[in-house]
Amino acid sequence: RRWTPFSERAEWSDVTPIPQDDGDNPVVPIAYSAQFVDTMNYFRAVLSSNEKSERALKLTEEVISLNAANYTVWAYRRSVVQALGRDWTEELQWVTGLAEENPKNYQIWHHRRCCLEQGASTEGELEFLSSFIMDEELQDAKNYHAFAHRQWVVRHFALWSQEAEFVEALLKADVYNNSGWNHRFFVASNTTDMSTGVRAAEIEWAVQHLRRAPDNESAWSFVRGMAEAPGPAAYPALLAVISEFAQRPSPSLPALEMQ
Amino acid sequence: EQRSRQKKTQVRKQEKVETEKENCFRPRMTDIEFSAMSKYFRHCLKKGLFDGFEGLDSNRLTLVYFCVSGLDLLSDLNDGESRQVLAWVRRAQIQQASESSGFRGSTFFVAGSNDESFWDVGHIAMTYTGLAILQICGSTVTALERSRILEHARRLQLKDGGFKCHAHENDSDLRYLFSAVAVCHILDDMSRIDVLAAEHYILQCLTYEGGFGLRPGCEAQGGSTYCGVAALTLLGRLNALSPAAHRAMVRWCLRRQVQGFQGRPNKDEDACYSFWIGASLDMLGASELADWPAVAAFSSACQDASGAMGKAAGMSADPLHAYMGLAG
Repeated sequence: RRWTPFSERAEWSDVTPIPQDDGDNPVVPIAYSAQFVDTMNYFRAVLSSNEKSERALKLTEEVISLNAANYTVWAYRRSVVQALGRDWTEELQWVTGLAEENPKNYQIWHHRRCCLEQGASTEGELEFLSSFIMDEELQDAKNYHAFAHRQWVVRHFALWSQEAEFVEALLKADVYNNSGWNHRFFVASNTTDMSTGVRAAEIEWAVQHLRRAPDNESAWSFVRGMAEAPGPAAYPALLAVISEFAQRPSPSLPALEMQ
Repeated sequence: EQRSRQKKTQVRKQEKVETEKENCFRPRMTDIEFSAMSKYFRHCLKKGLFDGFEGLDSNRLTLVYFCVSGLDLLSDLNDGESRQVLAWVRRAQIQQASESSGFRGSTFFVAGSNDESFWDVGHIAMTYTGLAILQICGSTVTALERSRILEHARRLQLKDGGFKCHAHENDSDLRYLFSAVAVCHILDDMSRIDVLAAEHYILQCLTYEGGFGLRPGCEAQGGSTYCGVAALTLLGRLNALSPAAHRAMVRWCLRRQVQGFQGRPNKDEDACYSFWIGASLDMLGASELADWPAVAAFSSACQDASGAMGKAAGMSADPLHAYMGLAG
């Protein structure tokens, strides 16, 4: 789609753009495109007047497409959505479209959270996260933001029931995925009393995965963490596994460490 | 993500008390490599980055920091450059009398405007970055600015002890807490923020693996571990870590070494972790336990044709990795 300069857009004719003043000798100058300059000039204008309108909303979308990391545009966009009384579920759907192109952008993930906080429907949110994380093409199986966001969603809305299955699928695809292990620990910490019985059950679960990869630091950290209270001696199944792996001809180093 | 990776040169310089140890364990790169790096930082500073970096516009201050601090670490920052940098950085500073204060990420808003724009607020990570740049370039803020900036930091603290990044955003994590603590440290006044609450938030970020996550519950990671350790150090509260927690953290950091350092278990090494993990080990008093010749070899391999470092071997240099690799 051909980009139209703002001077040619009738709906913006009443607005005076505000130029950036980078001074005479800017450092780390960026070679801004004409489109970037024009769009930002009008963005500065609506920020100054604090305009809350449909055209302002569309403008934020253009700013975001040029620089999704601009930390002002997101807060401003939310204030416009609020002022216009728009539907937050629709807003959530809109930002979902951006996730694929900007997987590591903090603000986009924060925006998802804000939409949900404002009342957007959680339906499909965990499914979205699962498919995002497990999509082989995206290579986001360890995306820190995705996992942090998932933690927030399950805790805030008490949506714990799918998490065990989610972790299993993750570890089946890659037993070395540390984010998956951390997530399981997080779920246990938040949904159980972390009693010795609970910890023993978690350790037993972890040992299955340990057997698949005895050199897996993620798995060893997990069992070590679980066994911390009251201590490894209280978990005979763990002691047995440590002993077994430490005594192999090619011993597992983490097992040796734990002995 | 680049915005999140900022360093506290001051902390590094404090660690120079251990210079002798460093010389033993960290082989210095040749002068040729140094001068190539200088050229790279100077080029970025004067000429900027290649086309297509509009996505970094909001973080320009951090890019300036990487270049200026990089040159400073190489003892190659001249007065003319300092002056040029200061002139521009002042344009990123909130100077009008308003609710907010501190620094913006760039000259995005018109500097010195008398319009009280609701949206023209300081960002805590940029405020830290701006103050660090001022310090490196031999400048400082006025008493009035100092007072306003401290107030801006105070207002960003939340009930749970953490800090949000700016007045209109409630996103909170250890990076912003570190930035706020660093701001108070540079301005030499910890009394305006709730230090105990900040400490409490940091400790909530400890994970079962032994490092710090970005928020309570999040996975332990190299960058957030640095933020937690550095914040506690600047608060004078590193002993908030029990001896067992301290040991576990050292162990976690050391396990991050493959040849260079990785940020999390079972992930690729990345030049910037030479700093995040290296500095954490320094502050934890365990630096000599890492294999520094191996790190040097990894860093060497990260240098591209310009001599500056990229994220890993075969990747082009960028200011963040060039700086973090050097600082590490």
